Amino acid sequence: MITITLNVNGATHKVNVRPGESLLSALRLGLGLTGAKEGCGEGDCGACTVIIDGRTVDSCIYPAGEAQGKKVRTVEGLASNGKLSPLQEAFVEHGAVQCGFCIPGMLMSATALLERNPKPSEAAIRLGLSGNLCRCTGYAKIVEAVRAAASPA
Amino acid sequence: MAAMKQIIVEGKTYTVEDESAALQGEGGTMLAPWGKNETLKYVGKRFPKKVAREKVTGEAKYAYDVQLPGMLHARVLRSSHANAKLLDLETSAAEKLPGVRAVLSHKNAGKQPWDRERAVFKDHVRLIGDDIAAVAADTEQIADDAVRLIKVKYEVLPHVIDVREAMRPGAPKLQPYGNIWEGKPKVYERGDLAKGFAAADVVLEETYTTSEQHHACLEMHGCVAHWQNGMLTVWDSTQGVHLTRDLLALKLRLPISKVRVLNEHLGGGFGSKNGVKEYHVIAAMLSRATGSPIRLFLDRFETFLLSSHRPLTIQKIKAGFKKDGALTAIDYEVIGRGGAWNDRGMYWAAPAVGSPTNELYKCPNLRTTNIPVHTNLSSPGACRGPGNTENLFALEQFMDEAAEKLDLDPIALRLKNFTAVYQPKNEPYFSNGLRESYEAAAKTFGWQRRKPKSTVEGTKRRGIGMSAVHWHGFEGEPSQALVTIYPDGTVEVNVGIANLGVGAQVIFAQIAAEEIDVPLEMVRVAYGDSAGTPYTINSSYGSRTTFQGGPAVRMAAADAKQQLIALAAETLKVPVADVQYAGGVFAAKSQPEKKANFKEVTGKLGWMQGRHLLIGKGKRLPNPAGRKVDIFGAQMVEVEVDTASGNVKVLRAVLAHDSGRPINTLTYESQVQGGFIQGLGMALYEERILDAETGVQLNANYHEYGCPTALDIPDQVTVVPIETHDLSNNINAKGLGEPPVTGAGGAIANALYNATGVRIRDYPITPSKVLQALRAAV
Ligand code: FES
Ligand code: FES
Repeated sequence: MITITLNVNGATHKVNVRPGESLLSALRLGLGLTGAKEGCGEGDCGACTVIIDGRTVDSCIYPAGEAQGKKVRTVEGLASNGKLSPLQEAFVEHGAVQCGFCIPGMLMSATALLERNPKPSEAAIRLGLSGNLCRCTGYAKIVEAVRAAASPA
Repeated sequence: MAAMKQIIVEGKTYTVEDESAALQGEGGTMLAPWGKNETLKYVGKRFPKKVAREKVTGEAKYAYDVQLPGMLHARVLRSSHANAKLLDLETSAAEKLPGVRAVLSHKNAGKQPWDRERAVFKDHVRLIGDDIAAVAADTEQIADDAVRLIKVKYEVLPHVIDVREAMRPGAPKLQPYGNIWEGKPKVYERGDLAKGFAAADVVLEETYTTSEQHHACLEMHGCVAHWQNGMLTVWDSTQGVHLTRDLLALKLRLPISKVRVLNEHLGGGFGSKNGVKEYHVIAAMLSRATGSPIRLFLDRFETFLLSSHRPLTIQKIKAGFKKDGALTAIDYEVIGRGGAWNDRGMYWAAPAVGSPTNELYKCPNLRTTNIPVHTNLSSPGACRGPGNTENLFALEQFMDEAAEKLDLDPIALRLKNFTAVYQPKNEPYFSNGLRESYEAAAKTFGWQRRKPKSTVEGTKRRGIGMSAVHWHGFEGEPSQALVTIYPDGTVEVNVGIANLGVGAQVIFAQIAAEEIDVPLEMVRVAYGDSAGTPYTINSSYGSRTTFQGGPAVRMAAADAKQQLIALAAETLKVPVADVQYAGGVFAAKSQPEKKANFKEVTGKLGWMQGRHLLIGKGKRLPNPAGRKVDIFGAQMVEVEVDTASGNVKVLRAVLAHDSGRPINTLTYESQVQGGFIQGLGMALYEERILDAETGVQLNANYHEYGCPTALDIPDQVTVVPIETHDLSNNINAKGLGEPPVTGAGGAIANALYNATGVRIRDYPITPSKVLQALRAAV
C-alpha cells in the first residue's frame, strides 16, 4: 500500500492505494465516495466519469496516483449547501433519470461540456454525452435537460 | 357469486363478469375503476420522480455500492470448456495465498444443489462459464489471484454451439430426451390449416432471424450477502425483493423469516434480474463459511457471458390472404437457441416467442410450432418484451411484405385483420387501442405522405415504415399494499417492490394522494425491503408493477380514508354519514360550521393520544373473469440510408402506445423513449457474437457490443399516449415497460425497404448487410 494525497471536491484527503489502483477504486473504497459508478471497469461506459482539472476522465482506467496534485471533481461536489446545480435540477425536472446508474457520469460530462461551451448546439450536446452509456432513458430527456440547463441563447 | 353480464363484441355475445362487482374491495368498499372522464388531481399528470434527487447527487445507494465493515470479496472460477468432466481439482495453492478466507468447490460444498439437475459447484460443466469454485478474500484482487491458482484437469467431451447443428442426428446429445427441449416441438393449433391455405388468393412465406440481444444493465449482476446468527441478509441488484427472498429460502432450506432481501435502487434489470442465480447462493455460502459479509459481483465480461440474453431465433412465417387482405391461414415456426441445462431459459428460447402471431391478427386457421434447442451455452432469459419482440420483428416485416404483394397500404392490411377478441381463449379484450394507435401515430407522423417507394436517387435515401406493438397483460395476481397515516398527517404507502427507477414510487404516491385527496408532498413510499413490506409483487417483470400494485395501493388508501372519516366523525361529534371531506377540510354536512382540517384529525392519532396509527389495507383482486388484458400500440419511423456506407440512421420516430390510463405522463414518455431505443439497438447494432467453435462471446464488452449512444438516437422521438378506458382494474392501467421495444425492428426494416427497395430479414441490420443487399439488388 502507498499513501497518496487527493484533492477531491475542494477537500484534501490521504488515501491508501495499491500500486496501479484506479482512481475510481480509491474514491469508492478508499474515500467512500460511491457517487461515481462502475459500469464496466474498462473505459467503455462512462459511468465512472469524473472531472480532473477541467477535463472528463474515465476514472476506472485512470491510476489514482496520477491524480495527485490535481483537482478532482465528482458528482458529490455538484450541489452546494444542499442546493442542486442548475444541471442537476434540470435532470430531475425533465425526468432525465430512470435507474440513475449512468447519471453521475452523465452529469459530470454535461457539467464539463457546459463549462467549456455554455451554449452548445444540439449536436455538441450529443457528442459531449456520447461517451456515457444509458440503457434506460433513450437519451432524449437527458439531452433535453442539458439543453434546458445551458444558458439561454 | 359474481355478477355476470352480456356484452356484444364484433357481433357476438360474450358472458363476462361485471367489473363493478368484481372489483369491490374488502369490507365492501366500492372501488369501481375511475370513470372515463373523471377529473383527477394527481393521476395523469407529470411529476418528476421523488427519488431522482438522491440520484443526481450521488447519494442513492445501489447494491453495487454497499460496503460493510469486515466485508470480503468473492470471485468465481468458471469452466473453460463447453462440455467437460472434472477429473481433478486442486485448490491448496489458492487456500494458502495470504488474504484468502475461504475456497468452496464441489469437493467441500458438493451437496448444495442448484436445481433438479445440477449442484451450485459442478463436477460436469456444460458451458463456458459454469461455476466450478469460489474464493472469498480480503480484496477482489486477492480473490482474483487465488482463482487463478486453482488447477483443474478436465476430460473434454463433445459439444455443440450452432442451433441447426444441434438439431441434426448425431449431434452431441445434451439431455436424456435429446436436444429439443423435452423431446418434441410445442405446437398450438386452431381451425383447419389446409382449408385456410386452400381458400387463400395469395400465399407468402419468408424466414427471419433475430440476434441474441443482451440486457446490458449498467449495474452489473451481483449482491452482498451476510449470514449472521442464522439470519441471511442480502443487498441485491434485483427486480424483486420478495422473489429473491423466497427462492433463497427455498434453495438454502431456510425459513422465509430467516432471509431478508434489500434493494433501495437498481441499476437496470430489463428482465435479467428476476429471481436468483448461482452467485446469490455462492455469496451466502461463503458468508456462512467465513462469518463475514461477502460481496460477489460478476464483471462485465461475465455479465455478457452468463447473465442471460434474448434468444437467437429463426422464424418461418407462411400465411394465406384473400385479395382484400383478410388472413385465411398462418403456419408459423420458430427455432430458438437455448442453453445446455434444462431450465426456464428453454421456455424463453422459443415457447415464449409467437404470441403476436397467434393473437394480433384475426386468423381462424393457424399453427404455431415452437422448437427450443439445447446448445452448450448459457441460458437465454426474459429480455424486455421477451418473445413478443423477437416475433414482432419478424411478423411486422412480413405484414409489410404482404401488403406490398396485395397492393394495400400497410395500415389498411392491419386494420382489415383487426380483432377485438383474444383468439386463443375466445375472450374479448377489456380494451384494444390498436386502431386509435394507428390513427394517432399516422396523424402525428404524417403517414399519408408515404410513397410506396423512395424516388430519390443518390447516396442518401429516406423512407418511412411502421409496426404494430403488442404485449400481453396479466390476470391480476395477488398483490397487497398498506397505507399508514401518521399523527402529523404524513401518508406512508408501504409496498413490497424493488426500485427499478421507472417511477413506481411516484406513481403509487399519486394514486394514494388521489384517493385520499392530500397533497403529493405529504405522501412517502416505503419499499425495497422484503422484511416489513407486504407482498405487492414477487418481482417487477411483465410490465406489471403499476398494474399489480396500483389497484392494491388505491384500495389501501380508500380503506385508510374510510377510517379517517370515522375519526373525523368522532372529532366533530357527528355521525360518520354526516362527514364530508374536501380541500383538506372535514366538515359536517348538516352543520357546515363544524369542521376540522386534515392535521387536526390526524393529530388525534398516535400513542400520545392513546390511539393506534391508522393503517389502511388493500389488496388487488383478480381481473373480472371472461375478458383479456393486452397492450397495444403503433410505432412509425423515418430513416435515412447512406447507400455508400450502408449506415441506417433513424431520423424521427412517433410512438403511440395504448397502456390503459397513463398515471404519470413524464415517466410514461421516458419509459417509451427508452424502450424504443433498446429496440432500435436490437434492430441495428446489438448482438452477442460468439466464437463458432467454443461459444465464447467475442464482443463481451460495451465497446464492441453496440448499445446505442446519444449519437445514434433520432432527432425526434415523439410519444403519443393512447388512453383506453380499461376496466380490468380500479386504476384502468394495463402496463407500459416492455411494449415500446417490440415495434422498433419492424418499423425500421420496413422504412429501410421503403427507402431502398432492399429487405434485410436478418437482424441486426448492420451496414455490411445493407451494402451486400444493395449490391445484390443492382
Ligand atoms: S466504469 Fe469506467 S468507463 Fe465504464
Ligand atoms: S438511467 Fe439507467 S442507465 Fe441511464
